[in-house]
Amino acid sequence: MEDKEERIETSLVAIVIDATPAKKFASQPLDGSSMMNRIFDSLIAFGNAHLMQASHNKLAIIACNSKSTKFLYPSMDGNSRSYQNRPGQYDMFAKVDSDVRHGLGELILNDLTDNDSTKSDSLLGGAMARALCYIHRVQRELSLSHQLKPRVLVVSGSCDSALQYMTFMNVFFTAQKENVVIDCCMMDTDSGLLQQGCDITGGQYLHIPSVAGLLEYLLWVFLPSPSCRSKIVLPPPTKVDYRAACFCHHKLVDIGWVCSVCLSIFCKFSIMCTTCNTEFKLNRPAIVPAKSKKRARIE
Amino acid sequence: MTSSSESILLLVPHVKLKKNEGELYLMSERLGWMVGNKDSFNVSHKYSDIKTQKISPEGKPKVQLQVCLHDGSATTFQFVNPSGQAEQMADRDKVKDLLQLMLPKFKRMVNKDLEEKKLFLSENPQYRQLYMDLVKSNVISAEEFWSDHATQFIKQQQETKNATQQDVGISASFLADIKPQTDGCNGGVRYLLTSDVMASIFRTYPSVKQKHLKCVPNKMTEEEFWKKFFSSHYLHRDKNINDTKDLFTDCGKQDEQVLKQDLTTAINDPLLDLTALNDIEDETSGTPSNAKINNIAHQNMIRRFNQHSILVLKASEQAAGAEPATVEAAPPKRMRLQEALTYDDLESNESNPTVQLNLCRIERYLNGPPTTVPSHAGVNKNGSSTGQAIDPNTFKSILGRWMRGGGDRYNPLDVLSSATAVTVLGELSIGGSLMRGPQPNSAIHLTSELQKELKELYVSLSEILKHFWAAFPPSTPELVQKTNRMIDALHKFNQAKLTPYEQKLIQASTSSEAENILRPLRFQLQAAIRKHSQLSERRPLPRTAVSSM
Repeated sequence: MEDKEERIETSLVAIVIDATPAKKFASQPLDGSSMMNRIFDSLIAFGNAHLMQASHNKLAIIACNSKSTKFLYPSMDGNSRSYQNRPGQYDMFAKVDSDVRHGLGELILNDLTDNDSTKSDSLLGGAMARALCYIHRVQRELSLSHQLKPRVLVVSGSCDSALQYMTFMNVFFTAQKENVVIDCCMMDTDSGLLQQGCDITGGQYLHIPSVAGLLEYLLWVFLPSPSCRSKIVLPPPTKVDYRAACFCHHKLVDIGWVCSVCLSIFCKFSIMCTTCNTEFKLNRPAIVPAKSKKRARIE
Repeated sequence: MTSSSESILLLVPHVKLKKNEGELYLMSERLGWMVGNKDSFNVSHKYSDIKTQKISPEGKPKVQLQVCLHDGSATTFQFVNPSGQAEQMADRDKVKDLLQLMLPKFKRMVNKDLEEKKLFLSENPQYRQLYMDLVKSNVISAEEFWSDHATQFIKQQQETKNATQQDVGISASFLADIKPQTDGCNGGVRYLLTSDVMASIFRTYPSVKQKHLKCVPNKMTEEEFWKKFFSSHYLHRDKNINDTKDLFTDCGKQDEQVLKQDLTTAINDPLLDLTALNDIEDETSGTPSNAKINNIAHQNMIRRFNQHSILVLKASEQAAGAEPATVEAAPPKRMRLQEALTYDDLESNESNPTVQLNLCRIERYLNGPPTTVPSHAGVNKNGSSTGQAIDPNTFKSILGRWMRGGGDRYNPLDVLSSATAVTVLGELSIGGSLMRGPQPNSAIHLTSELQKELKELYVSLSEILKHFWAAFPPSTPELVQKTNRMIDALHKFNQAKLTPYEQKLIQASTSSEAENILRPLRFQLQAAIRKHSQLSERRPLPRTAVSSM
């Protein structure tokens, strides 16, 4: 059956879990447990489902909060920890289960012992960058007979952070260059930045209406590999808002003024660029008609 | 009757135009026709507007002459001299001959201009499109287009004007190229001198030209002069024939003088030592007489070469005369020496001064748009507010339970309950809440043809607007006039281009869409018109004031 000429496709999914909203979800009771448990269990189930699809498939799970990022699976602290599998359970699944539970719990508890930091943003950008690095490493280590189909799945429930804008953008464009698809499953909140990232890399962005059914959304939308998604009826792509924010008031602008020297964006015209102190010399009287200025349409 | 500045070259009475009898005038720059007893032309065509003339064939009852104009129209004159057809023919032929003489003079001028414009349009497709849009639809006139809008064309024209055409030089073999024609019966040989050859001779021998001016009309005929010239020793003087009677003897002397003068004036370079180039230095061998003859022959030869070189140099100076013609004085000695001693490539090359970019708030680049996207999952709003209040110990215990939750205690129902699964299935099936696309009105689809047309509209409109706003502030009457012209053009554009396009759009889609598509264009148009009306309110009579100027 197997054609010798054809390279074996190895699908690698790197799941990036945002652990910052854990506390929020822990407070929501659900069927005698909590929403947090439901979410984490769903993620483990999804990871195992991916591994089950083909024996070559690979999985990486990275979690992050506002302080640190951590590789949950494959775990970085060696094989020291023992895990118990239920009778008849595939060994690898049990390992994923145990590693994730342990690692994620530790990460959240560490965060908890420190000062409460839920207010600051989660380091999603950094975690995604680590995922890309891991993908790159796997790609290099893979034998020639295998062909890696990597993708990143971001599962998050926190808002965009303006401070990590550059990190995000770097990650997106790197992923685009490396042919890594970025998928995103958002709970509770919407993220404009991740929408852009998914759009750039050709991934699927989904904001799920109910967190309780997370596993089904994951299995339905994100389990199929990007190559077969075109054959499946999936939620249509969201309209991505690519507007840029002006530097002066941080407003999203459709049409703004762009400094011709430093490319700063402003929503109102001023005689001097406040970023690079360039004076705009206009040979006009003081009342400035709209025509004379440099206009730029920002997409 | 006619303006006094024009001279009437020919007046032909008894010429019919459209069944009216009148008189045909041929003036220095145009032809005109008027009804017999009037004092102004009913019809007047400039020669430069006339493309060709046509005459009716022989034997036709009517004797007619038709002039075809460049714009495609034509006027037919019928000659109705009462004294008969022969006279009519004679009248017509007089007109025809004169026109034949006049038209080529003007034709070349016009054609050259037209050809240049044609070439320009074919080489610049964007200007051709602009021309089609603006001129063909009568938004602006062709002259305006060429003078104001085709900026590149104007630039090109100025460039050609500035770059003085180089004179075509003289062929080195022009004398040898005069081919003799043998006359079969007499055995004589005839030489045919064209005016080109004569001009070449004049340029090579300036003194001959002077002689020619002096002698030809009064003392001898052209033919005699040239005969003398070719038999003169002036032409063959390196053969050293002494003939004092020669007409051109003093020409040689004159040349000598000019040469001497040039020598003293032209060379004022302190570093140039001409004596170093002496070529009679090592003239020691051979018999003295022989050497002397040789010498003279050589000297003559060298002199002629020198004379030729000086003429060439002069010609090149004249060609460069368009630029500042003053020959810069030879730089001082010191500078010349400096120049000879230093080499540019050995100097360390200094980098161009660059302006440093001074960014004071770099963090602005790093910050992204703020998170304004609101969560629209209302279910969790309450949860999140209470979530902050969760007791850390409870949280810890929940988390601890989960951490130990694997293995035997694993309950599949913890992950997905059937009820939720069914709801999600509904959402993700076709027609479900997640399967609806974005609002359809956000994207308007135009056919590629309409898109192209829209682009052209934008280009044309912005071209006119550019000129409109360029005239602001309209401080001079010319600028006011320009704004008026441009506003007229904008109105015409609106009628001739925008409205038809809108109709087309409405046919292709809904009217609200068409409005949306054209909104930016209309906005630009309105802004200009508003500005202009404000301006005319402030100045009560700009239009009339201008038109009187």
